[in-house]
Amino acid sequence: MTPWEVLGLEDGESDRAVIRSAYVVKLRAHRPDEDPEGFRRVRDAYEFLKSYADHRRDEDEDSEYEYDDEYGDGARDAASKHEHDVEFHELLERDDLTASEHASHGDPSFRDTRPREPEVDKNLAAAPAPRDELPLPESESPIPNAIHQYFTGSNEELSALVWKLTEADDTEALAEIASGLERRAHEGLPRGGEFLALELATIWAPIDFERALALSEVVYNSMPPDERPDWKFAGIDEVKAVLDERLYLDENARHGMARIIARGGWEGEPTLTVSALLKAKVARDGALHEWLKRHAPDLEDYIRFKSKKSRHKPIDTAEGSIGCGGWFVRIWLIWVLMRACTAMGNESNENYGVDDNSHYERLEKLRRGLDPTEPERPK
Amino acid sequence: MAHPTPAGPCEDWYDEPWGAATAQADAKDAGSAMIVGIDLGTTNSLVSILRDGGPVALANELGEELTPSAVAFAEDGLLLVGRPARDRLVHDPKSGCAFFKRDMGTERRYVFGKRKLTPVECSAAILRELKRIAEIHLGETVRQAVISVPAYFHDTQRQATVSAANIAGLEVARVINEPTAAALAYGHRHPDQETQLMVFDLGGGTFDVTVLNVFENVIEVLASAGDSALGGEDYTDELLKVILEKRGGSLDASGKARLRQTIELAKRGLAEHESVERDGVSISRADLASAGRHLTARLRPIVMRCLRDAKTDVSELVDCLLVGGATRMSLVDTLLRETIVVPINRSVDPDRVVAYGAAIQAAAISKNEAVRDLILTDVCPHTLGTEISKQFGKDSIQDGFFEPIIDRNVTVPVSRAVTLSTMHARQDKVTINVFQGESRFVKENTFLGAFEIKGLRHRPSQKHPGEFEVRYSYDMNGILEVEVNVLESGKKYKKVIESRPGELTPAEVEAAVRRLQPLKILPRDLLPNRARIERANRLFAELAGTQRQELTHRLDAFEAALESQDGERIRIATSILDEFVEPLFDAEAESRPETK
Ligand SMILES: Nc1ncnc2c1ncn2[C@@H]1O[C@H](COP(=O)(O)OP(=O)(O)OP(=O)(O)O)[C@@H](O)[C@H]1O
Ligand SMILES: [Mg+2]
Repeated sequence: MTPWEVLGLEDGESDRAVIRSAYVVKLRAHRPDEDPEGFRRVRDAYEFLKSYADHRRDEDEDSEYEYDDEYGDGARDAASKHEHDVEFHELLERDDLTASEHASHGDPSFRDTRPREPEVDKNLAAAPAPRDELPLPESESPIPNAIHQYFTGSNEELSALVWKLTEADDTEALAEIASGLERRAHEGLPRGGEFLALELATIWAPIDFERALALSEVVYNSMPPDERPDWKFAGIDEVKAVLDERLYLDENARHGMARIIARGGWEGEPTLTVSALLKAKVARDGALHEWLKRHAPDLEDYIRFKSKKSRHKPIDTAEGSIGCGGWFVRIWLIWVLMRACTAMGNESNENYGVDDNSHYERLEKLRRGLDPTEPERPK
Repeated sequence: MAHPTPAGPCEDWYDEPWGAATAQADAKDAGSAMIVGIDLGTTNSLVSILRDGGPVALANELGEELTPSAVAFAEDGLLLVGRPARDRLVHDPKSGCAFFKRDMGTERRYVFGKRKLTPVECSAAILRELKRIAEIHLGETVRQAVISVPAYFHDTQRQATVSAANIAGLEVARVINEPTAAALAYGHRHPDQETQLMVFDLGGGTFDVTVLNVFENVIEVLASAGDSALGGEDYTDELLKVILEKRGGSLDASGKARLRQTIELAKRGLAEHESVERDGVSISRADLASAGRHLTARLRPIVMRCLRDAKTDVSELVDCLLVGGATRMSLVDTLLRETIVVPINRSVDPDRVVAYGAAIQAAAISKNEAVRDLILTDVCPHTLGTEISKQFGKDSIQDGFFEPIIDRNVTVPVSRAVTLSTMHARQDKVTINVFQGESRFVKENTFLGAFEIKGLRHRPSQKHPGEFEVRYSYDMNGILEVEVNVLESGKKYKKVIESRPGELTPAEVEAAVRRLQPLKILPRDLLPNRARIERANRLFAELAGTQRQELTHRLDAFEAALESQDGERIRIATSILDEFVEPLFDAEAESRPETK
């Protein structure tokens, strides 16, 4: 049965009012509390026809709108998932697929930015393999390896390495990672690099807005033109309102940060929420920190994430998606980079509008679970 | 006074002056086996029924329709419920608690002296009281109720509410979302209207927003969003914090409780006045706005998300119905008028409309002709999904991901499916873990249940090796049915996820009922007398000098009269006590929401 048949309409009917009246008639015959099965059928048909009507109104007259036998949201979702699926498997075949593969649910402004057309794909494939180009200093420091791993490694090795990394106290090397990664972001953006750049941007926003903006631009430009999100992000006002109250940074910095955070969407993209959280820590704003924590309640857990063996869980074949290794590692890296950036920031405090108090010290305190705003009490 | 008869709820328990005047037999009118509508609020609860085709709220013996959602143990161990409990909490905060709705669905245990209660049991005590009130009016045992819950309650919290009802001896005919109930009451009153509405429900402890369409007697909810830990009480707490900080020094628990009460009343006064001064505490609207600014900042994103989910633009909204006592704050007005820009509609009684809607739903379930034409379709505001692992790269697999199956804000009943597969060729078994929530990681979502399927190991020449379809069907009562269909063999597995964490076994219900059982009912335990004593106790804490002595005399005489169980003596002592206490309480009575 076509949706039109279900509602007893003429085939191809697209007048919203007519559709709704037909729905009401059928609804009375199949009340949701009395005939759930019948109601579901009617409702699916109605929802399909509603969007069909909208589509007809918005798009040009001839465009086809398809449905299969089992129309309705479910079928459409499944269809689009299937396309996605094929694409994902193609991607899986690719050698340079890395732990930073990323797609997100929910917020459409943060859509999967992977290219859909083969040409674009080629472009990316042509991008220099990260492996060869990473700045590898001569030192024995584990840190460059971590960068390397960020693009190529397996999750477990990676977690182990990053764990080591955060224990390392080599601020110079950390600073080097930060700038190395940033350089890479400007160069070619390897797969996943746009998110790295974005995170760097969020890290920089409260410290150096111009720099953050430049990095955001890099991310933006790396996207295929038709996939670029609208920069007037939804939600910016809300976020700004809170930040306005809570952050004693200058207007530009606040704005940049709000903008970047808003882009992620609070529910849609925990990574950015966590980035913001970390920044709130840097800004020594306990209240903002609390506020953000609601959105990423288990931050400490993420940070202390330990790799777990998978048990009897089904695996999703229907969707190409983020490797969570990438996600966790990003959190880790944010942490690492935070330390790096603040270490750099300390060299020229005047430029960054931070006071003499060493951010690094504060972060250390945070890492040890202490309140960074409390002066150290002698025992 | 006659000896009390704790046996039948329909008997007249009380002599004048509280008397049986309110105990009319509404049951005749309503037909037998009445289903009542209950709004179990964070701050206030009430019960309502449909009478002469319209909903009415039922009052207790004190003539009050709103029962404060508070429980407390009196010195003699009796469980106080409602106003007496709330009054007692002001001078002895450790004897019980209020706002337990916020802890529904958690493992919290309250300890009051030697006694322990769970949030579910506290709620059960309130529900039992409401049941009692309804029975006085109906003259028959009430067995079924429609109970409202915040739209944003997740399944565990809903289940906890159902358990509370079971303990109270009520069967839940339907759980209805609070804003939906409000809309239903509105739609019932304006049956022929065609409109697109937003319901903005800011109660004592929860915030819900719902966008819906009303047309041709159909009430169609498009989307709901909310925060189940944001309400008027949080504003009071913030004010308290600010004022305590300003004052410096420290207050003991009961001092704090008294100050909080003063602030609460002052806050309510701000609905009418620019600033209010009360017992040495003076606050202005600006103070309230500034103390609660983080709270206010949380409101708008929720509204926007709801509009987005409803695919509705603010400009399409004809009205915004204000529900919940906390919408009386002027800052809500400002937010809606200036920031969100939506026309405000205050035509519904913000304290009662949810219960009215529940009563209408109850009538609909019992096929009452008066509401037969009304059809309601609602949504489930949380996403339902399953746990999956994801393969990433060649050898790395991570579990703990949430795969949405039924997206939030789709109309229920609904059924949706996804196709999943085993992780590797030799895997024979998978566990389907069912979760509800919005996070991409299951550990941040709410676990609802699990089951296992077998026989998935790959075999030669299979078309869909290891693949299976997982179908979720969600019905209007929040019952989720999970069906797994193994593609290769065509084998089907079915499970109804009804019993969720938090559901009580019959034995547990039984035990809880016993725990809540009051001791023998003596005259002093009857609600009006209890209320009188607690109120006098509270006043005692506030008065000083001769006034306090005066109160002591009268109160002692009253208690002695109760002890004697002599009706005439109690009557006299009552009027002597009331004569003194009532005028002193006028000020507070004013601030109680009025019946419309
Ligand atoms: N005039 C007023 N001004 C400001 N706030 C008020 C006023 N009157 C009542 N409130 C607040 O309204 C809240 C109670 O509202 P209501 O009775 O609607 O909540 P509830 O239904 O018990 O709670 P919920 O629906 O969240 O579970 C209290 O927090 C109270 O402070
Ligand atoms: Mg309420």
